[in-house]
Amino acid sequence: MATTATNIPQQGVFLEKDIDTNDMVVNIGPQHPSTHGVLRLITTLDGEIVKNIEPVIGYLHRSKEKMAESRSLYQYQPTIDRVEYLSSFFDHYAFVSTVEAIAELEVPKRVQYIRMITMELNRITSHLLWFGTFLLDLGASSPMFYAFREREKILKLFEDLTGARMMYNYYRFGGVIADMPEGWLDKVRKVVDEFPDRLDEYEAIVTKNPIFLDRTIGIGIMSAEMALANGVTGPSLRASGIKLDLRKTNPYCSYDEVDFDVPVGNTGDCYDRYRVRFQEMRESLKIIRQAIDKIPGGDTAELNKRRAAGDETANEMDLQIYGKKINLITYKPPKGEGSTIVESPRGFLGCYIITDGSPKAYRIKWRGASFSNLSVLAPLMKGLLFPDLMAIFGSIDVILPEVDR
Amino acid sequence: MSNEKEKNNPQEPNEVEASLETTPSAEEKAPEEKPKKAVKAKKSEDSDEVAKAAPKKEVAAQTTEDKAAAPKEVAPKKEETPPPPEPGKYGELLQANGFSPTHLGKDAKGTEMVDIKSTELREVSEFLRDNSASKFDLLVYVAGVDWKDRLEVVYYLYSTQSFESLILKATAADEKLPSVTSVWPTADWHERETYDLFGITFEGHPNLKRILMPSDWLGFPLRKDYKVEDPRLVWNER
Repeated sequence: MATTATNIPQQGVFLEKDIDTNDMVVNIGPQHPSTHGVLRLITTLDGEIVKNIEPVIGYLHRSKEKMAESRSLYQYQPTIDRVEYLSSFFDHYAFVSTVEAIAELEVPKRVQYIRMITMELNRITSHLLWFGTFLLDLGASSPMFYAFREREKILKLFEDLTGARMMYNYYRFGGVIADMPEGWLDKVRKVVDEFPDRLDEYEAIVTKNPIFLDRTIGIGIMSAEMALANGVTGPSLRASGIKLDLRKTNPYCSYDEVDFDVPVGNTGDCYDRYRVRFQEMRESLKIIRQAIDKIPGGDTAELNKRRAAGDETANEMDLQIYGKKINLITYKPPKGEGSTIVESPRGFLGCYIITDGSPKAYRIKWRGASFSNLSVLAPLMKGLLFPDLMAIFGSIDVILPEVDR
Repeated sequence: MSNEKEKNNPQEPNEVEASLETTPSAEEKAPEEKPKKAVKAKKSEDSDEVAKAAPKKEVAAQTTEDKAAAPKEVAPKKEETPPPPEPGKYGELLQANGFSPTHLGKDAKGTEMVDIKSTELREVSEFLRDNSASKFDLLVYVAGVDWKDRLEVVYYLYSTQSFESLILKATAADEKLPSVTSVWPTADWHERETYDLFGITFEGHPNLKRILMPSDWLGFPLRKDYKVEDPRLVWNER
């Protein structure tokens, strides 16, 4: 004990010698309702102006990359849900598609469409939760209830499909674990059809609300240069005027077969980030509607009928839910490496996998979008007012489990 | 059995010899039938391709061998060794501008991979960010890899102009690498994370300290030889 105590470096923030007596250091967190998890912000204030801000992260570090060393890929897969629990379909897609690329597994078209529908539904749930908590940060508590009401409907759909409301573990190498339940697409269509009315409702409450406008317009302006230099991606970057969406620029899955727009902001303030996310929900609905119409095989009930009637075209490769049956418990991908980036609700989600021919991965690296997005907070907050801190932090949409992994 | 062996054994070398002799002769005969212009064009193309891959002296040596039609090249052992990866677009760009990259081919997703010297890392980064042909203005992530005999750092770059990606790799000699925070400020946290988990020191980093693990943690968890030897965690063994 005594020997190691000397090795312990000091945190040193409160012990600096030449501390300016006019400055006040305010510690926020790690347990704070506005930090969306466990984040500590050490802020140095001069009056109400933020002079410096130092985010301290790692309170939620669950060593996802270390865990991969002792588990086979199949055993590791359920733990991926916890990397980012609000939109874990994206984590699964990044992981599964990298392994598929390394092992050169073919993915049937039907599976790609199922993945696309689930990912876009997940984007909506993620943005809805952001919408609720962002306004809660600004002091409006009722949008939270509205947002959770709609989110619940989509979570019910996920429960029908995967058996879980949040920890889905639904994708498999080269496929998905099971086909959609009969009539599921109709349920999705019903939710998607009534959703635009709900969005209009929210916008009627919030978008033109003078208090909301005062709190967001011109607050926390992030220039495109600052965003790019600090690795900000996703809606926060698009709000700054850069039209960068991996679904458009580097299409994966079947995103090149559906038509949608990429909403872009002008100034990069909190209001633009709000508008971009709201537009994105509408674009996601557009994608889901097209995907439901285009999905090969259609609803599972029809497909089952065709199969029962002996229609051999119903057993084509593109209508299967597995490209190739593999025994996942003993599955050994070949030696290789691959890196995937996908457009998650918060930006670039990266997964870098090195395999060495054994059931385990040699190295798995996760690139959380929130990790880079959070790092812009310090340069962005410099010289701004302390009361705007939570509005700006909320508008960047950071989720702490993804930061710490 | 013995008869069969006697029959088989003399046949095997004959077949190999036959294959060695027949293939070059067939190749020699084939161009004679075609018109001379086509042959010339083919030869020039071949020599161009070789010139890209290898220095000039070797090209000269190979052409002389081709003229002599030596059957040594058809030996089966040479086919087993995988060919060196072809230089990609950005590898060639780096080479043309005075850097010395090692081409590593492409990863499973088709992203070009280039290994660069750790001494050149910062210059290469600046060049790739500023040059109009590459414009890699976004550093997506920095990842450490422990290969047991060496520590490697992987940089994933993305261009918002051309929407292309590039993977840079650098070996951390003596567990040290120059920091690229001056090129991409986002490298700040990513390099801190790599230092935290792998113990790679980034020289020139403004604030190199642990980021994910507690500040008093001992050892670097993602190294392959890592063992928890912290006496403060002795409750684990109770």
